[in-house]
Amino acid sequence: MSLIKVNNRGQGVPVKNLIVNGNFEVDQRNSLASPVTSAATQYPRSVDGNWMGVEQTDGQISIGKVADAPSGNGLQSSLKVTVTSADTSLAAAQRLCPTHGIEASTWQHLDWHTTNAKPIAVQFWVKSSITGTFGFTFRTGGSGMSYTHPYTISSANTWEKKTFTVAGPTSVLGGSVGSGTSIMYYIVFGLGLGTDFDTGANGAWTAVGNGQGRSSHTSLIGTNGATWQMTGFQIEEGTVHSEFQHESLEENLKKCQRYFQVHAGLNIRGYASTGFTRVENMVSLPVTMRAAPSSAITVTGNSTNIRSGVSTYSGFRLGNTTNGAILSVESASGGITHISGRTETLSAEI
Amino acid sequence: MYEMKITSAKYFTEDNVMILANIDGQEISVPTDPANTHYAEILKQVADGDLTIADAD
Repeated sequence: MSLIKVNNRGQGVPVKNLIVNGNFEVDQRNSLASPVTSAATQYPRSVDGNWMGVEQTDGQISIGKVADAPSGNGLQSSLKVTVTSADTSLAAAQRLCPTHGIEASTWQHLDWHTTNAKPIAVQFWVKSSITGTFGFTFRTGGSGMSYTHPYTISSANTWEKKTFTVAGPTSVLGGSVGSGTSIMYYIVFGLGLGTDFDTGANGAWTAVGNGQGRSSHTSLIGTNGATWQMTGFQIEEGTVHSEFQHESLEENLKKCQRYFQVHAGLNIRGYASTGFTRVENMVSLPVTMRAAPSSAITVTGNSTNIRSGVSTYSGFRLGNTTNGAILSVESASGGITHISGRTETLSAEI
Repeated sequence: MYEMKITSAKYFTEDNVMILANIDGQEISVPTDPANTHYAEILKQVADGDLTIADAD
């Protein structure tokens, strides 16, 4: 009899990691080159996989992917938060907490909120310039129930692996959890929380208004220049922490594109006999998205004879579905009408 | 969790399947799909009386 060793690239084995892009390899927004700051929005989105920054303090952060990871396990990238302006005294309603949204359909096999609720094994690598106790928290999609597991960073600027298990909740104690393609839970990494967000308990599912961690935990936002990094994020059914499941970049990208896509080099051209004439073309999406996506222009590109308002009368403006988007251009007057070199994003993120 | 700052919203298409909105300082085209996070927030803010969706031209 011979034994077959199964590698950890997910080849030929069921997907076990419930976290999308847990190694932060996919970076469609190119945050590696241009980390997103919280100057323009308190909810900066930078890395793929339903992550957002959530920075509501008097300070500021930058957030994005960096090429830094613990060695010896195939990881190469991590999520990094850097405090660019400190807030040393958080008010009750202030918070800094990178947050990951969970689509209900991806967790339904865990039978949570029933008497058969299955436990999960959580693992991640973390590194910070600040030592102390931090929190990992689940919060229901509609606020009302939370669970906080504290973890300690013992040595500054040193990768540490954290592993723990969480018992699945057998009922919804408060708030609401979605089903199907809607939000089930948020996973919150607290890096400074006001008292409004305190869950009031460690290691227990608790009915609480908007619990996102412990206000007594270490506040990264309190120190200018402080950093926090995380990678190798894996959650799997059961109580065993198995090796991080590496996937091909192609598979990882497909999963990310269920929530976010970048469409570069969009071109459409037509001849209009008069003004306000429209040319349309349906663009098929490479991956079916979670919901009909919102679209936004990131590179306007070149254009000719566009009806007033380039952002209004050209591009993905006429109808987006989960598997297609209408690319159009509308003329200002008779003649050649076109756009080229346009980049737009499609977001069905939670 | 996500409290978007929406300063304007207007139906763009004749059949009202898309809304052009300014969300967190960015012009975003939002489909009228209740599962879309932006549209769900637009509906919430309309219900709360904080936002009105203008008719298409």
